[in-house]
Amino acid sequence: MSYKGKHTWVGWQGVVAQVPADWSLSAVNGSENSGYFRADNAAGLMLEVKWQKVGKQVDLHRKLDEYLNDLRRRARKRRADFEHKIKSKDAGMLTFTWRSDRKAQGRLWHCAESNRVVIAQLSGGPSDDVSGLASVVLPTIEDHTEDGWRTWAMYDLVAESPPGYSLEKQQLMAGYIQLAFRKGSNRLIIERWGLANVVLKNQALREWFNQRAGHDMGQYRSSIEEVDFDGERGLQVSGRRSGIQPMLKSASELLTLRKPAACLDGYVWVCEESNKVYSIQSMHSKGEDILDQVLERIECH
Amino acid sequence: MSAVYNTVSQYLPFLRKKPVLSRDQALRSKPTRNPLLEWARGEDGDVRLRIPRRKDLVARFLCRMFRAPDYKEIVLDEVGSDIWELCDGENGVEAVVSTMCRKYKLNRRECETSVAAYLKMLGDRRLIGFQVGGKRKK
Repeated sequence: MSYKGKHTWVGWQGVVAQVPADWSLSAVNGSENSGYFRADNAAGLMLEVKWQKVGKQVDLHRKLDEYLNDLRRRARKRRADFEHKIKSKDAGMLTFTWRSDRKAQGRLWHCAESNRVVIAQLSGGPSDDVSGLASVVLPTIEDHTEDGWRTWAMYDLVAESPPGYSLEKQQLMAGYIQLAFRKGSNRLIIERWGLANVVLKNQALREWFNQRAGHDMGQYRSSIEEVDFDGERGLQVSGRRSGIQPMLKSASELLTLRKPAACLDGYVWVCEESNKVYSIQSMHSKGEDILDQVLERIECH
Repeated sequence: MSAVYNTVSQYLPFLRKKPVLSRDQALRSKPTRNPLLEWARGEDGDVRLRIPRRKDLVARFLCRMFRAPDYKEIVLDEVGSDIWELCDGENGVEAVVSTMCRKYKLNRRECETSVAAYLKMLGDRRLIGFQVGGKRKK
């Protein structure tokens, strides 16, 4: 996938789309089984993608009718007309258009790989070139990767989470993004801070990291080494659980038949090109080290 | 009815409705510093604002009683100082956002959200006003 140029990627829970560069993610919700994201620009054009896990047999026509009927009901409440057309593109995909006070072009399909029904539509005002843009954007939507890693893309950050890890917590704030994942007792935290030149103006990276970052690092006896990331300033963090309280936590994890997350590994680096600080931390059991693979899959600029 | 309302609200400011701006209008509006404030860049490069205290009888009495200084000082951080300097009545909100995006390499949406929140905060504290369509709003 190419993330550079006049386009950018937006994505949530492994469903990604390539959109024009001035678009950005504006709403997300739900989980891997059922969720939604919206990306839009200032002019009111928007891409909406919705997915839902289903059984093996699914009636796509019925799903689309339900969706369009819902839109019709809402249009009636606004006292607006509603017209739609459905076309079958191939066995696994339906395409549709609708026109009301806005107009849209979309498609609905069943992905056998992820077992999800995905409905995507690009909508805009009556004078917008929706069909032209839809023919470029909608074919770029991907709802799974071949190796099972899940892609997350927002505000120029593209990262992937390993199979089995589900999103536990997210913070999407101006200048700070955090995605925290969990698989049993293992945790993976991806963070990005903006304004690196400001936050590191009077502090070394190590000092700043000790103060501002380091989730649950108190449980681990950790060491921090300064490393070079292709010419960028960076830190490598590694540690092991120590102390009475963390050991009791490990023991309680063992009681639930989970391998305790006894190890901590992480990388922190400054990307001068994008003026941002990135951090990945993995709290994992022995032999579950996924940090380097996560690092390889992060696009920082 | 609206004429009565307008007349009454001239004398009772709490009755005045706040004008609602569209996104385009808000981006075109020009933030302007309050001319009653004194400000200067400090040695560290941060902007320091001196806000004079109220001069009415109660304020003068309280100031004397608590030995409060005649002005209040607010120090803006580096990013805030840059935004403050751009609020000269010439740059629109759009221009402020673009300048900050370029300078700090921020994503446009992220930058727009944080600059808008910051300008709103300055506006709420009456440190700046917004010129909309050639008129001063505050």
